[in-house]
Amino acid sequence: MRQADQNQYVEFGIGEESYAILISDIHEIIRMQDITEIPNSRHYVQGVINLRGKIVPVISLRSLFSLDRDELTKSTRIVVVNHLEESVGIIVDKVHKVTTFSDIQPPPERVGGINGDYFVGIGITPSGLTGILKLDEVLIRQ
Amino acid sequence: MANMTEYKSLFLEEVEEQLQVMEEEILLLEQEGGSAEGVQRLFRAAHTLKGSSAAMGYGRMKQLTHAMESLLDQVRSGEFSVTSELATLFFRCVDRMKLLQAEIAADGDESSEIDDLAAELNKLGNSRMPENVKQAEAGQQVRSPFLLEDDKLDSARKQAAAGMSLFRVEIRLSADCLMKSVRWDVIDAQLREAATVVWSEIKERENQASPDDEDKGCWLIASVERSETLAEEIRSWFDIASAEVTPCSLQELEPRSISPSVGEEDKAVREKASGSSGASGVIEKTKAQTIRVNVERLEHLMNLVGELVIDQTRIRQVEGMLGQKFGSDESVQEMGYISDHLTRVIGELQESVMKVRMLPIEQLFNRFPRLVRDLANTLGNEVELVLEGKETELDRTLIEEIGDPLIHIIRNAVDHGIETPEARVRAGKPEKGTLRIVASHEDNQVIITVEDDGAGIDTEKLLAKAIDNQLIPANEAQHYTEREAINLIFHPGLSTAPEVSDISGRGVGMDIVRAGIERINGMIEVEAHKGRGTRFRIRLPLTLAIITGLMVDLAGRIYILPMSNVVEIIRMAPREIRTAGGVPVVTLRDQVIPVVWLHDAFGYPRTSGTRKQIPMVIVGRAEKRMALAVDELHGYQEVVIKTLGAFVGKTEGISGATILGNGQVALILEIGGIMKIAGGQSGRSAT
Repeated sequence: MRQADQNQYVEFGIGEESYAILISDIHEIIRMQDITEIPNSRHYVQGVINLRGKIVPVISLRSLFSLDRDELTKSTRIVVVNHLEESVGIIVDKVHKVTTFSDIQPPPERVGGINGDYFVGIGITPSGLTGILKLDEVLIRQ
Repeated sequence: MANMTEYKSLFLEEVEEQLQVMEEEILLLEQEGGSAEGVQRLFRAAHTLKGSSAAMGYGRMKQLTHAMESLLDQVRSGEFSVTSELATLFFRCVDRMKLLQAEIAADGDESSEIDDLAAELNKLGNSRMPENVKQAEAGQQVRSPFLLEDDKLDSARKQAAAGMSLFRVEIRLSADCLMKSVRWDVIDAQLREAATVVWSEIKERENQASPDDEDKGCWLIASVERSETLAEEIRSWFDIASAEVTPCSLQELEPRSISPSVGEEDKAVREKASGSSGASGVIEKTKAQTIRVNVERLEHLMNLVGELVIDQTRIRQVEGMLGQKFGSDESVQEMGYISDHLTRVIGELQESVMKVRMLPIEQLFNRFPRLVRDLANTLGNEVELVLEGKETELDRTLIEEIGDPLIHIIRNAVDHGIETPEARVRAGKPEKGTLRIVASHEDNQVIITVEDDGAGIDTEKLLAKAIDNQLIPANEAQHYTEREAINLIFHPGLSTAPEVSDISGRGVGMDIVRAGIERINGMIEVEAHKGRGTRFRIRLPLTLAIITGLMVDLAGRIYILPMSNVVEIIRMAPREIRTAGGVPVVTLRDQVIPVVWLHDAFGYPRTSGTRKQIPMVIVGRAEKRMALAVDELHGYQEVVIKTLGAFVGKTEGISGATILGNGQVALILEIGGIMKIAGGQSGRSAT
């Protein structure tokens, strides 16, 4: 029963690092789509996709975190989250698994060179550390 | 309590509606004096509001409408006529009720005081009512006090048909009678034994909260006896001071309009009575049947239709592909028929849903008479407002969006346009200025013109001001044509009013008006003649949801240009593009048009520069023209506009997105934004 009490997260990888989003925030996970770019928009907003007739913006975490450009592979996915009654897609390199964290530490000021404000905390798993994303900060509006 | 909030929103809707009616009627009354029907309609509006606010427990609203109603009733009975004093007082009442309405909507409570207005209403009512009228009214009250509901009336008719005679019985209790309400009960019971009681004032009074301490009572009875015999019997009962029994004919009982002091306690009866008394009752019956629908449901329906439109386009494409592959295969042909039919049905569905969302512009126009009246009063102008084409229908969101820009234009017209009566006479014009607002359909667009016969636009002043404010260089000003100069009014931060008034002239006028209109894919043009007047012409699409778009290719990406912005499509060789003052231009029929490379605006490499002919789309905004250089033209199609959402936010040059037949997302261009980007890049505005 203890398992059920704990929040479940979807863990995914970008480069060598792994990150996680609360499963209840996630609407669906889809394969990479044709993205229509929006000129003159924020740099990490990659564009918009057509998700069954709905226009959904897609962002690149790599771009937001000032990492290398997205490298599209067969395992690239778009994690569509619900945030403030809107759907937003987040491009990730690879989706690992659904997981729980027995221990979550508050985020340090910088997480591997990335501003700590983007994280709710650091999840500790036997296989390593996972940055749990703070959607309010990652998906901030202008 | 969930139900209560639902009632509340229904109530608020009703208040909104009735206040609108009141405002219109008051204006009419003021302008044309009190026509019987007009007073009647106003009365009914006040009455309806009184009823519903009482039912919802909003005492102040009820009190105010009650006072209005009483006064109106005196107007209706011809005791005094409508004066501007009265109209102004009524307007103040309407305003106060709007305040109450807002308070109820915001926190569910009435907090504005209304006693002052109620007192004024009552005072006005009493002052105009001489003593003899009061008496006459009292007398009339005695003659026909029966306010029969339909079932009572039916029963009276039945009794009469069965050979009984109808009598009205009026009983007074002796002064020393104690516990009058009990005594009334006893008398009522006794009467019921002696005859058939059709209607009893005592029973009506039982519904009242206060104990019955009247010393007079009234009945309608049916009996085979003669009136004298009945009267004698009644007089023999206890505590009776006097009893009158008078024969009563059926005609007397038929509904009619009634004096105010009588029917207060019985709203339902009153309403029925006044409803069938005039022509208004008939009009109401012939009104089209309507239902109220939540706007969100309509939006949802529209979205679904939008998706159907997209799917249908895709089916068409697949059909074409299959046709190429399998040619005359039977099932491909069959599919062709089905797809044809689907196209027709979806087309009709789309049109119907759009029609459902359409409202007559009347809704908006009805706000103007009051606005103009108040403005004119404040400014000391005299303005005659002419509204035409009220029945013109357009999408409800458009009606909402166009409201503010229009009001701004009207304010400007009354404030800056139409001169004072003295100035007008000096200029040889009639004292009263005319403001004409006309709505009409033209092709697939709605045209709204706002025209005044005022002073027009003083272009010299405008230019001087523009130079003063360093909006344009002085040496350029002399090259401005009249048209270009007039269009300066759309420049941000330019207002020619000599002083800032609270009506207009804050310098944030027309550019905001234009921005508002362009946001809904509309266009505004202005025409002015010094000393003769100004005319604004606004073009709007019929709907916001679906537009016809021209598909253009830009560095391999498809963009949509709203057809409403497209003036012309041309092809030009690269050498025909010259530079004038640092800006690339093309000359088309002697008109020099600046060229904008959309590639530059969006940060794409120019790919079409090496081609022999460059396709260009000439787009227009007022007098301004601009040639957009693109890579390819892909024809036009209906596109369903979708927003990019709050996360993406406002993006310069892009108004939204749509989904193409192949499922790809294409962005819709916004001309105003592109002009801004282009203006910024070339370092000066293209004129």
